[in-house]
Amino acid sequence: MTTLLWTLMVLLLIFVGLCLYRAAYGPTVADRMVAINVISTKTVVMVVGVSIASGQLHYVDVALVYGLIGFLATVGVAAYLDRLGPGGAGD
Amino acid sequence: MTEARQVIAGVLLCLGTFFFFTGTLGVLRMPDVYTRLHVAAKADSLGAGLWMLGLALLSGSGVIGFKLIVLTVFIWITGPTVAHCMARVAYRSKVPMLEGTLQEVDVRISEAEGGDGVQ
Repeated sequence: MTTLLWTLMVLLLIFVGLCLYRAAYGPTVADRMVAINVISTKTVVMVVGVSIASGQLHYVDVALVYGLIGFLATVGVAAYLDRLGPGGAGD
Repeated sequence: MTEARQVIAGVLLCLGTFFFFTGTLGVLRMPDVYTRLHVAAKADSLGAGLWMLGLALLSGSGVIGFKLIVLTVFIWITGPTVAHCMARVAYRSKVPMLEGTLQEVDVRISEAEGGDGVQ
């Protein structure tokens, strides 16, 4: 069972790499933010996966805090871009 | 009993990974910001939910299961909020839509010319 868990987490890591392409080359700032948000969700899931697979169950709290920080960061950047006015989230 | 629980957890994890794959494909291949956001928000919520459910079954501990359910509910609340924030920012800062998207202005002009609002 642990083997399947590690294999699926390696797959998730590959998906994170694919999303990084959009984060690096995304034509607009909004594209990059979408990609970073997807990566953030996958990271939360992977932290919980590592916690269960390795038996270090207190890592689940780390995932909770990471999810909270990721949400705050994305909303903060969105509010900042909104304040920049038209074209803020453009190229 | 433990065997059946592990099989169910494995199926849930594989399904979750499939939805994460769909989301990644959408983020890479969709043509503009709004469609990418549309795919990413939905696929991520479902993928994270299925993964958390599978991991909660796998952990077999009540406290950890409760924490994972709290985390799932948190992701399900924040995901749509973030998607709304980003779509609003993109629309207000006039990020261009896909070529041929029907704009609000086009609909108003069409109605003023006596049409039914759809071109």
